[in-house]
Amino acid sequence: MKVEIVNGADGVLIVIVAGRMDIAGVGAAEPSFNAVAASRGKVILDFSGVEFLASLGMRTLVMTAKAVASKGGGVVILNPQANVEKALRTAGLDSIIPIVASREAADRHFS
Amino acid sequence: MAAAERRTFVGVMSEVVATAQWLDELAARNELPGDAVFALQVCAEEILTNIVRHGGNPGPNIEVALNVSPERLELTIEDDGAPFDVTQAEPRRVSGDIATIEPGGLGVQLIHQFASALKYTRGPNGNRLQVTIELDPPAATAAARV
Repeated sequence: MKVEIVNGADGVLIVIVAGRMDIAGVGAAEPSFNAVAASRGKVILDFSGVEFLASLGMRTLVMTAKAVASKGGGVVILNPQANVEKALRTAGLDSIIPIVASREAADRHFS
Repeated sequence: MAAAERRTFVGVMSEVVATAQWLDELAARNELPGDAVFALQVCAEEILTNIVRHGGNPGPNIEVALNVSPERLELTIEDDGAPFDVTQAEPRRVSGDIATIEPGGLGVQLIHQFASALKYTRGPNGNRLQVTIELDPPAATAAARV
């Protein structure tokens, strides 16, 4: 899987995630998520390119969101594919990492 | 697919990864729909990861079988590790304050959501879990062509 980190406007960190967050994918992406976890600000995880997610990947997301929140920041997930969104909501992750459908909705969440 | 496809291995994480690739190949060969493949892969990753982590040391012997019919997928996972009945395990969801949440333990909830049915038996050779994933009618038509 691929993780691209982009510094957006207004200090927002945009993290473009693509591929499968399965066992192999999570292992490969761990350094990138560790970098995101060091963020103190607003983080948008662009999940439109994520094709698979299960509990191992969710653990990475929870750890990342906890680390960012502990420093006063926040994380949202942008535009996940239907099955990935179903998995996220099934596990209740949307209760700590809001799911948004657009960049504008992400901006509204952070405002 | 007339007979079930089978894969046997010792429970280590690299074999869980290899099994996911094997399931993807079977899914492509059978032209299975994306929703069913997603459900299949979620269940396989959660169940096999659990066996590798908690089944014992050294890793248990595991056999995975996939049977494809026009109506449904049947994934059967047998292992000779520690007893574990996922059908009776308590599902867990994330809730509460993010500062105090402990990650992990979400797999049972995902299995219960994405499997259409689960059947567990414990026999003299160990655990046997049968996961059924129902196919919707358009997908059933595609599977019937194989």
